[in-house]
Amino acid sequence: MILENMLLSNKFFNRTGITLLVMLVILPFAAGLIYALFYSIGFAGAFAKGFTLQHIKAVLYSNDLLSSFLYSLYIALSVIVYSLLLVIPAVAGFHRKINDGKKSFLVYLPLAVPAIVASFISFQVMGKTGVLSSVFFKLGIIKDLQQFPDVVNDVFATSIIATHILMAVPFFLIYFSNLFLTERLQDMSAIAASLGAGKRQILQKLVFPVLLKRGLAAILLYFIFVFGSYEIPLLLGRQQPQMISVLIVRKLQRFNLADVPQGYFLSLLYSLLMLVLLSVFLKLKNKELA
Amino acid sequence: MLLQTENISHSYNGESVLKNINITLPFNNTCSILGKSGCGKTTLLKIIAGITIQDKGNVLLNNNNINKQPPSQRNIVYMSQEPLLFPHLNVFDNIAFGLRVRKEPDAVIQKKVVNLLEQLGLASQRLKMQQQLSGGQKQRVNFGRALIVNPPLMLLDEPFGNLDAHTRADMQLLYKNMVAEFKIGSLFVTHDVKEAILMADSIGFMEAGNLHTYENKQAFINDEKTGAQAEINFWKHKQVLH
Amino acid sequence: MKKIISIFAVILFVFPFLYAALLSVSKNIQYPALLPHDFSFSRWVAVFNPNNGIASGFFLSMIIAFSVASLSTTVGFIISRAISSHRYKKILLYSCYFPLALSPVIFASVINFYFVYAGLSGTIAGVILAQLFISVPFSIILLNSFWTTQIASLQNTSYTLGAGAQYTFFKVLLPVARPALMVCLFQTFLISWFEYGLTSITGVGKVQTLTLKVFQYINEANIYYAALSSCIIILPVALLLLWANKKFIVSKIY
Repeated sequence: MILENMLLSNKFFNRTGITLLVMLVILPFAAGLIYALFYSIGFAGAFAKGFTLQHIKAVLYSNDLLSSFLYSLYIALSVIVYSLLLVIPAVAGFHRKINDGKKSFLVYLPLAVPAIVASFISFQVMGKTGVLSSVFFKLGIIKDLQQFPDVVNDVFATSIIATHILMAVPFFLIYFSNLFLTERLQDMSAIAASLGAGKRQILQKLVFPVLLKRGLAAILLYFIFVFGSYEIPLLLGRQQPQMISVLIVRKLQRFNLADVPQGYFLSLLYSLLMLVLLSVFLKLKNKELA
Repeated sequence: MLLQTENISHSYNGESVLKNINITLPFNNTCSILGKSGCGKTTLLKIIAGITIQDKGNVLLNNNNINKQPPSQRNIVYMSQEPLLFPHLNVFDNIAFGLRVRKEPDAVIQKKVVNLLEQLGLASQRLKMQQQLSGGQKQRVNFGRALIVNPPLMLLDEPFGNLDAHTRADMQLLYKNMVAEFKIGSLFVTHDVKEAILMADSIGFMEAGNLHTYENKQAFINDEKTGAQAEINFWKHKQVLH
Repeated sequence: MKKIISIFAVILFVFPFLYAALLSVSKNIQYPALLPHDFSFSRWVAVFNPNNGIASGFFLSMIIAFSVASLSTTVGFIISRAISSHRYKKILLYSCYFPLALSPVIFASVINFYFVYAGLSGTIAGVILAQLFISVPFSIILLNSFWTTQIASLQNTSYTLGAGAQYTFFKVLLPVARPALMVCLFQTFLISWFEYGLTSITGVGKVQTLTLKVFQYINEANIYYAALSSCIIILPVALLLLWANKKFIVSKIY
């Protein structure tokens, strides 16, 4: 009797779990995508007039789509490449300090800064009247604040990339210094050195390839995260081109009603692209576990 | 009879792992079950303990059918190869677990556990956590945790498989003494022929879900497929060489 | 050389904190001055006035973050357990990655219609629910690794020693799961505490959490108050980090 009760309660537990999963994870996600689809083909929305491909065409023929995706791609790639170039040599040289309890606190500290605060501080540092500009002025490098280069709202997204790098570096430092230990790269470096490899060669032929290969899934996930980032480009970006999240929100909040369905179609395209990237991530992760 | 199983059968995903298993175990007796890994030994023990529910057949304890009893009420303790101690409890609390479940008064728990720790040679380890213990010590704690509730029947799933030869011999001796002292019946699963012969009053041989039980140890040794004969010949041969 | 790099890195890591703190107590900084002429603590004193917008934002953020963290950890524990013994374990777990791959602000945008329809838009409950949509999948993925065969064996051991389902749950399962649950609580708290885009869409500006306050001050070009509210966002997290000394931080999600 009691055994049956126990099994029943286990069953109950499992059923509750799966119901909650559907309600809190699968359903909202699916419902969101369906709504975006319906809105972009004229089935939903206050002024929907039935099926039309007009909004989809408008997005596909506009410059917004391509420029925004390419701009997001450029920024996300730059962030990943520069961060890794900084982090991996640092891990090779400093993994002891990073993994050391007390000192490592400093590495964790930047994780306490949310994106919106980071962009605010970047603006204060890199803006025309910011800290860097003041320092340059005092050092006599510039004579006038107008001479300070535009690094905020500039077309190369300098401040966006810099801010993202500052946020990515601590994360990658922690992640890769753990990998460095679990992959026993310290011992392997010693072996490579005894075989005659120099410091540079060890970095190029051993540390970089091993860490990149094992860390590929995490790198891809961070790429997805930067690609869709919002607060940083919102504060530090320019009107044209815009990163994808900023562009979509702007379109959806326009009073021009023609822009709203376009915004939803862009969301749909963006979501599908992320799903493709995600499936690559899951495949990589699967391989990692196997 | 302490334990009887009647025609127990079980399958996983359509694959039959146990076929009509019949065991009879008298009180205070130890029966070894010899078999290679994957022959269904673990499943059999889990069914007797009530952790897995059999597809078919009956389990009788003291001549009572316990098919419907949950594991917590069977009073049968299952010991796995890996000594899975509760990681959040120290040695003392691990051993006291079964007594606390039974809501025994603190003074009784204190006395019983201290006594048992003494017998197991763990008196100085009582406050340690599992990561501070050696493999042999962990298995002693595991053993003590089972003994303290004084179960009539213990199921041991290759309990000494992970220990080095020396510790293993120690544990075998300790086990024999304790089982005799506490008057406990047990099923002892192993893949080691020597251990099977050494530990048990009777022996069964398991292969591909079928169990063959022998009337006595000699019958077991005489049967070629058990590998007992080969083992004995090996040692004889070795002696000749020396 | 190594030393110089270390010092430079430390400065870079610590600078945002010092700079935000400096700005928050500055009276006025005129270009090209690096330090203010005068300091003032009046803004910090004002924070302790409960009618102050920053104080109310702080309490609102706290309420939302605590609700989100405790709810998503509890729910994540239940769901991850159900998934771990499910036939379609892999697919179900993968489905949890989907919401995480989307930018929260876009996720909030595409589900906003339903929130308006249900009358949840612009309410605290609505913001909590929307945040749960991203923190629950995170919790599930994080806690999924807890449900190993070892945990199942531990529970079985407890049963055979005579413990019932309830005793096993409270005296074995929960204590063993404690570290994993603490990591989950802390991380989901952070997700909520730092959240801006999704909150601004679902809350339509009516749910003024601290991050929204920062944004508002930046928009008003009120850098001193922006710095002050930034400090108040960072401070509890930094203190928690210092106390926990990193043990909750390393996410197992990767």
